Amino acid sequence: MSTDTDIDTLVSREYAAGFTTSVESDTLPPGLDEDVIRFISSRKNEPEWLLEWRLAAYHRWLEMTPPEWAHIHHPPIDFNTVSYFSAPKSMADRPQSIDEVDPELLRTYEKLGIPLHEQAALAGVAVDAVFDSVSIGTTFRGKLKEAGVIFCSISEAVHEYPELIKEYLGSVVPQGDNFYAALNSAVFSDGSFVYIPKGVKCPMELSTYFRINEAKTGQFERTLIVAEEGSQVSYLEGCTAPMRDENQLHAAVVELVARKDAKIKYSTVQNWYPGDEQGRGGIYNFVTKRGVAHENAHISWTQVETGSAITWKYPSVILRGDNSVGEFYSVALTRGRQQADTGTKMIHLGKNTKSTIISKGISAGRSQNAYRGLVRISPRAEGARNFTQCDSLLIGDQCGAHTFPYIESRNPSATLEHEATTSKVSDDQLFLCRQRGIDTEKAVSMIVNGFCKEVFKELPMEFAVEAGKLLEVSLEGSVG
Amino acid sequence: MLEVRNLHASVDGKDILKGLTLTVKPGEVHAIMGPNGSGKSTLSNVLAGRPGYQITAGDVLYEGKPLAEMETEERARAGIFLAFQYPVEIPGVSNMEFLKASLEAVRSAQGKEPLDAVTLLRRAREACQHVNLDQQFLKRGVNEGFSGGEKKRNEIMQMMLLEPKLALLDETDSGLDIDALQVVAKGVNALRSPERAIVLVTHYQRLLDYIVPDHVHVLADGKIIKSGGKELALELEQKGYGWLTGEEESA
Amino acid sequence: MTPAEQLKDSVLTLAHATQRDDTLTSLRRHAVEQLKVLPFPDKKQEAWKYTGLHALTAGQLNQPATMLQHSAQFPALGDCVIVIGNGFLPAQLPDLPAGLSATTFSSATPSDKSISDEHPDTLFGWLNNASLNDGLLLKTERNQKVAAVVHVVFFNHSDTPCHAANRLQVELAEGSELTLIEHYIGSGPILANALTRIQAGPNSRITHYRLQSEAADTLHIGNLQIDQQRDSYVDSSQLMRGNVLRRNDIHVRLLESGAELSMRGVFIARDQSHIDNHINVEHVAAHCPSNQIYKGIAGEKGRAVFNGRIHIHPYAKGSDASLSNNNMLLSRDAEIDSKPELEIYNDDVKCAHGTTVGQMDAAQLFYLRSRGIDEAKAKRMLGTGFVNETLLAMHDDSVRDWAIDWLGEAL
Repeated sequence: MSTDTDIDTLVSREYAAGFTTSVESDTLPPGLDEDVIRFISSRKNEPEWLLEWRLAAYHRWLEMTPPEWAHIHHPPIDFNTVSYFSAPKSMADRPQSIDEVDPELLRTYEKLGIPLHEQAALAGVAVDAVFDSVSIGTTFRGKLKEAGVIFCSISEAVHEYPELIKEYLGSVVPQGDNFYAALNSAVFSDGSFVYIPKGVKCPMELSTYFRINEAKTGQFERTLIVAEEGSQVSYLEGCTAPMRDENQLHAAVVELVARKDAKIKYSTVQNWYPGDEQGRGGIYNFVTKRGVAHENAHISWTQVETGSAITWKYPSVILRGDNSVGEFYSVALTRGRQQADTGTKMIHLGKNTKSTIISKGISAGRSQNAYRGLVRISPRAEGARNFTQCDSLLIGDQCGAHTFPYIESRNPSATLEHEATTSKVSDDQLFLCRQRGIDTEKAVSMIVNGFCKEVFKELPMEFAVEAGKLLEVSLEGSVG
Repeated sequence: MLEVRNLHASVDGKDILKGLTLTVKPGEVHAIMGPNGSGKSTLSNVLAGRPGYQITAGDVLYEGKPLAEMETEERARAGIFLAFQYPVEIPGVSNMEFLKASLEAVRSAQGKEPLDAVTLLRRAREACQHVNLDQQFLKRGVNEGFSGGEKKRNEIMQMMLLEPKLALLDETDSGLDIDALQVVAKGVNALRSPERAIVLVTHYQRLLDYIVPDHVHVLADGKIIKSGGKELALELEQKGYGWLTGEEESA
Repeated sequence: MTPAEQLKDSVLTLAHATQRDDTLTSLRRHAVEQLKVLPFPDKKQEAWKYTGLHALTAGQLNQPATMLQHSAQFPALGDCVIVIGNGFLPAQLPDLPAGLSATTFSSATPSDKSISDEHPDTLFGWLNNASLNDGLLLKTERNQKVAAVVHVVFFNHSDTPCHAANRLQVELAEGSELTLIEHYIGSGPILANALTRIQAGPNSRITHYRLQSEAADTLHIGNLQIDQQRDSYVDSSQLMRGNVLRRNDIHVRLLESGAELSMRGVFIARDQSHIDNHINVEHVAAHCPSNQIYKGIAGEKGRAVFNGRIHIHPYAKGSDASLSNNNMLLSRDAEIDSKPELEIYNDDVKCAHGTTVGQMDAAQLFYLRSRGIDEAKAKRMLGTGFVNETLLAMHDDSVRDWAIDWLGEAL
């Protein structure tokens, strides 16, 4: 099989058929078939094994159907109307450093509050920025390299650290894990790769910002974090997208590997465009996130989710090693006509494994907000413990809050505890605040921030403030 | 300062106040007494602008302006403070955070700079000391898990910080033991000044042993049926309300 | 054919085999039409995620049970006893206490439309309709308190696999009161397909017990539907030990304001048994309180599944709903799957649910043993202590005393 010829044919055919080339981007026309996958792979100059891996995923995907169990409703997605690759054109010749990146792109990130120039960057935070399908630059690489930490785009990692990628890609979320993970495995474009060597404590926070810019484009990033024995890392991802009338698809995969005694803290502030009040537009966010915790390892997911028209996301921890710890702290706010079905899975395999789930759901407007979580204790998970607390806060009488925990225990020495409450912002509370001169919006935001405190305190300092502000902005106009 | 003329008010469509008239001048302390269900709490809630409490007729002027046209928080910012009969809990929002937001809102309406963090904390601690409230309460959620007496003292503590022009105390004495009552009274007395008016709504004469009012009014069936000086309260203590309302007093 | 298709095929065979000409013909016929189009349960359906129907054999679906020749043994729990064997009603109903009347479905007048108007919730409910021999209809009189405790015994027995449709309908008139014990007993490879419906009229009160004490080789798929009108009060206790397959679908609708529900249950799955309780409480109207407490124990290779859903409708303001499910897992091969759900479409509500899965407290066990109590006895004491909270909340002394002994045997 001559891949090169196929690619050439495809590329020239596409050009002939009107390969969409806007001023800024090269965007593949909508549709998905083997040729598209070959194009993506060749465009990224990938080795043969990775192309095969993608194609295998594609064939699995073709046989799968979208999951229907979630508490979300949307018209069926036509996967042939999505474009599976879009790159800012000036990236075609990869810049060697941030200084060579198109200033227009850098300005985009500055507008988002993420300066990529190192002199202007947030102190102590290294940032990888992913624009549509490709990474446009990673800051502080030099400094990280001194510590032996690898932080780069996954495309680069494929070339520079092929052995690591080969070993770990798909090791936590296999190609055929679920419908959207299979799709991602077939067409993933870029994402971040982090490797922390044995015994190293990463000297700074690592962060990736994702932005979907191009219309009708899907974003399928893939993040892989490997923390070797005794190492530690804190990683944060932020997500935004411009307002567009049509729905855009985001199907990411995140894999975490925490070796013996390692510690990974993964935080997300997700603010994809949620659509307008009538429910037009917005991102469909179908994400698979999972980590494997080996002996004594610690994986912690913290998420603050205010965006996306639809969120379908269950960051999970497989507690494989004895004494490993998994945590999930989540704030999910929905308003307008947003729908969220999100939660976590804690799979207890090792002895004395421990998991904690704190989920705070806030529903306003006409939104629907569901927590769905699985805690599974396997027969050999001697002494396993789980504590789950799910609280829902309702603002307004047209929204819905739902809780669907699944608790499966097969070990008699395990202890599981699940508590859920649903309450509302009460008129009496608001009256007390107003009587003290605090207006309703401020009062609601204080109450909501108080409601979320347990989760916010888990976020890295720099982002806890940001998360609070995000909630405040998101709630504007929800009350009154 | 406060001019209530022929006030009629209803709660959830039910008429409670039926032609109440009351004038309060700066520097005065008024006590409004009456049996259960006479409309005492309705009056304080109407004055503070509680949603659901409708003025159906009459006028209420505060510093010459009609209160009905002011939002709840505008009234607060203009210096009206209501000490709640049942202070509500706001879990997760700390007392300090709440005080800061409240003080900032009230001060900014008065054209004052917000207090810096150190001054604010110092004043809050002083206010706590004044009402015998442990400083730990500043860190806890608003009224969260407070005992009844602690909630009432927390109200007075807030009042001392906010320095209102018109303080309405809605049965602040109910449910307090004598020691706590004295603490509350001490706080209220400390606030007495020629610029400030205080309206005490109470069921029991006992409070008036510690806060001596200038005027006492008896409220029954939505109207003030008798007004007098502090000696009226003593008379009520001896005779009950029956001799005024013409009914057997219920317990 | 897939296993599901095979089962469905059997179901239709049974439904056809039980068709005959009498007053219930149209009820059965309509149900058969429904069975043709309804999907047969399989593990892909959320409601059957944890319960497979592999224990069901064709005979339990396509062989109608025959009339029993011998009488049943059961504890005396009530004052007025009605025994229904394999779904056949006694030729003569006993004398009934004042304020209560009883008729059979087949002899009910057309004005008792409720029998056929309400649709079953589940496929097995439709199968009950389709294969119904006859059902018992109990009605209370307006503003009457039925002083006697009514004990309805469903006795199902067969030496060969077969299917019995058990059916009870209770209609509480306005302001009436009733204490009712539904009791399922029997043995052998028979499937008891039990559908009970309770309609609580305005301001009525019922204390209801559903006791399931069949032998381990019997199968039970039950359906309990409760509709509550204004200011009615339903207190329902469901007690069960495990058998080869036990599945209960309980559906309560609080249809008018002021209706109050208090439900509790104990389920104990030992040995190879399987128990699955699916509970759905719908707050349709405003200002209804509901409170549920379920305690589960699984030991040996037993498996206990619990799914408790609270559904608050958009207009159900002032709902106050709580559910707790506490479980004890006693062995390595046992399994507990608990899934409490809250589905809330109104903001003026107070809802909470809690689930725990744990084991016997080692310190408590040690304390008892240190006082000379042998381990088995100590475990039984702790197990009894665990479920006692629920049992002691039951009003009726005779049921409570019997239940403490009967459930104690399983601990």
